[in-house]
Amino acid sequence: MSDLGLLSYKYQTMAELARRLRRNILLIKRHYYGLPLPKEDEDIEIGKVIVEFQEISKFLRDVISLSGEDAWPTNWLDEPPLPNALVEQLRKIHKLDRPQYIKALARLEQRLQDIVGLTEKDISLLEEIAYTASVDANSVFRKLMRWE
Amino acid sequence: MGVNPLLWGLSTDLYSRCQRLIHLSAINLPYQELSLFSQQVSEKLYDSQQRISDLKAGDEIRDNRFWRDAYYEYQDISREVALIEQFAIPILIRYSETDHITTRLVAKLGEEIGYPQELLPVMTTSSNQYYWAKPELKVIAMPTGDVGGVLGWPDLIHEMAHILLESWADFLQPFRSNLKQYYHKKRQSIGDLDSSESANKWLGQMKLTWGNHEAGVWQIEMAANLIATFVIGPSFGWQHIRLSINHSNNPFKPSPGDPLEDHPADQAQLESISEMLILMDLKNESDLLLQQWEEIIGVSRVDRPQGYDLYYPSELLKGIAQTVFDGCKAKGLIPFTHNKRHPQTAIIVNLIDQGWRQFRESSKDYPDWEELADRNLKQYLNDTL
Repeated sequence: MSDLGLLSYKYQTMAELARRLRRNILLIKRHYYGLPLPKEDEDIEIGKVIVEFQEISKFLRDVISLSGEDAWPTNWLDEPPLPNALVEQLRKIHKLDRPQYIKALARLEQRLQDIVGLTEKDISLLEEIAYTASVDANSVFRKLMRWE
Repeated sequence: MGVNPLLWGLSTDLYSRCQRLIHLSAINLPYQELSLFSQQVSEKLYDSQQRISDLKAGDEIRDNRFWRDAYYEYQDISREVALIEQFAIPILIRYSETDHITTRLVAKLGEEIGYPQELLPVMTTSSNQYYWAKPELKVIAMPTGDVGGVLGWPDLIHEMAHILLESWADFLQPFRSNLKQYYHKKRQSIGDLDSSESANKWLGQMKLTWGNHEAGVWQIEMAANLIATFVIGPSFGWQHIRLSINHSNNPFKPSPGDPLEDHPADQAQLESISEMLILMDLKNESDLLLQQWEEIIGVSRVDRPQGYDLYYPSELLKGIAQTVFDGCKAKGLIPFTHNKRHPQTAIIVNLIDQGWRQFRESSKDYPDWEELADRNLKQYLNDTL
């Protein structure tokens, strides 16, 4: 497959991940703001979504300070909840406030046990994960279209 | 609170764009294979329109706490539409008789190798980037110079394999288990030997590029090669050598220390093709390929770099060959070894095989052979339309 085909494969994979993360965070936000769920999402179990983000928070706390996937703890190597590229992006974003970011993730993980206990800051943290995935997908898309 | 006017306007405009593209995709050409493709393209555009309607009808665009969600949703839809506009619409509006004949060729080849009919691609013969596939659109682009050029066709089958791999999500699952086991074992042994930090780093890179996240494209590339080898036999290996000579500058790249690339090293690709040929009881053919390859490596005077095996361990090369071999059989693809015995029904498979044999036996006479073969094939395809 030419580079174009492989870029296309990468884009599809990243776009799907970004979509899933965005949809799930939107569900949490709607719960948090007391809004009904869209009809097509009514069957999604919010409990499962919460567990997924608790795992993501725990995962990010464990790996965000590490230099690369080779240094990740063994338990995250097989099925990491986020790909390494996304972790790298978040690592860059929080280069200067990493200790605070790790603490904020710990608080988020705890408060996710009860959505109403979340804060606006928690919501921002969740949003950042999904939007970073969208930005990543967009970067690959631009290469695919030969715009950069 | 209130509707985001810019997003609303952009969404309305994108909806209209979809409508124009739907109109273009409904082009009326006398080619049967295009009607299904045109329908699929239209359906994707209708889906995008539905997403736009949902976005405009939803709360997100009306509530500033959700504007960012609406923004990213809009952007995602816009990208999907742009991809269709870029990769599908031009094929429809520029579809030529040559594209039609090549699509027919692929349909006949698909029949011979047990390729699922519903996954057959539409061809365009105007690629300026060698062969490429857009599996989600079921489109394959062929470089113009390969129209009538039999030697390059094994790469066409490689692209067809990408469409299969997109559709067969679990096809590589057994290999993924191998990869995990191998990685843990190797990581442990590096730890036990107290090896350098870089060995651990390269091992991590190896897992990343072989893995199944978006960075892990090596398993996909290798699998597409191996599916092609399963159905077309040694010709795929010969074409790999040809491609490597034409396009590559170092058969061992990328190795540890090099910037990572989407394609695994040509050497490793050849080794896995050889593994597949051995699994198919074509060891002699595999030996011939390896012999020719060694000769080229000798001529190019490029040495195998240290650490090469860390990226391309024999265990993984054998593992992926075995997974693909078992998977192809389970999915009902027809192996080259079967088609080789049925030249009357497997015309294209045998034509490609014969082409490469002819080329290797007498490259001087090959152009005449190819010209005649192309003429006969066109006649055959015309008669069977």
